[in-house]
Amino acid sequence: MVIKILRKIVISIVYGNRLVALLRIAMGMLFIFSGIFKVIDLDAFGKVIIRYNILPEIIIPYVAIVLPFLELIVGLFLILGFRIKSASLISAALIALFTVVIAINVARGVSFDCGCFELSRFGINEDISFTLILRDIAFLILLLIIYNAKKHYYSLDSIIERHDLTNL
Amino acid sequence: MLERKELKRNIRESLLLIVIATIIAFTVNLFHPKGYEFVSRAKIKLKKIVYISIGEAKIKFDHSSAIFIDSRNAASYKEKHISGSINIPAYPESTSLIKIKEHFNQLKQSKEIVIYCAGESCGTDESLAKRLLEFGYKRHVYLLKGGLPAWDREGYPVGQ
Repeated sequence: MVIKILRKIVISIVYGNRLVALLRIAMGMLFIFSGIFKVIDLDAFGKVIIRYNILPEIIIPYVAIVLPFLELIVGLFLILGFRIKSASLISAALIALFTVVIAINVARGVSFDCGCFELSRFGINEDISFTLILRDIAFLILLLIIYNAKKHYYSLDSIIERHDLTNL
Repeated sequence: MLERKELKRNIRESLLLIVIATIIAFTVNLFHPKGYEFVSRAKIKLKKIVYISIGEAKIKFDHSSAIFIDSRNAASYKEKHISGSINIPAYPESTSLIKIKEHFNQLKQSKEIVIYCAGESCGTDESLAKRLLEFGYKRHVYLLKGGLPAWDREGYPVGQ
């Protein structure tokens, strides 16, 4: 009985239900939130990238300029539910990238504020650690669920699709 | 098969999104007070050339914290130069480069470099400074405002 209900829930999530839509909007807000603070101070974000000690210094300005805007656009698209597949694909790729660079620094044995989502403004600890890697992997799974879903509630994509179908 | 086609289309669309984000990003960066400025390497090099006054040069001289370089030709150098200075003429270029090579190891060491010439706007000091930076000198190059005449006028040590 319990297994049957669980199975139904899983299937409904994989297909895409209202919970998935809420998660999509929440992830979008997270990306917008983190993007805005980076856009406001591009230079500070450049210094965050320097802390990771992976990219050569010549490349850092380019990354520091492009990444925040990419986060903003992807976040906006996720919230609006516009081009969800592409937006969730890019955000999943971004999160995967962040996870790798964090993991490299965990392996090096260093720890500093990761500067990921600026959640330290809410007093949430974002220091580089193993738990942070787990959190990012959880985000990655969420985004893959969003990418994989067939139906998206509260989204422009579904409105456009309905519009196209009625005008067939 | 259908899924693969869809994935391909999504990746193409994602790349387009990234391109759009990049264009917006660089456009905003142009006007962003905390953005980045892209300057040509040649210009950054030129920023390393700094003019200093006779007084500042004298301080460096007294602490022997700088090597003084005479950028005039050898004959003028022989006639009169700042005490302890070495001669690296800015022209002709071939002689200049030979002299730079000869002294480069000495210049690279901890001391600063002060270059002077025959006056305020003789220009050879700046030419030599540029040549040194092109040759691979990394630190600031100081140019003496007023050159040798101003130094001489103050009664500071000169040699012959």
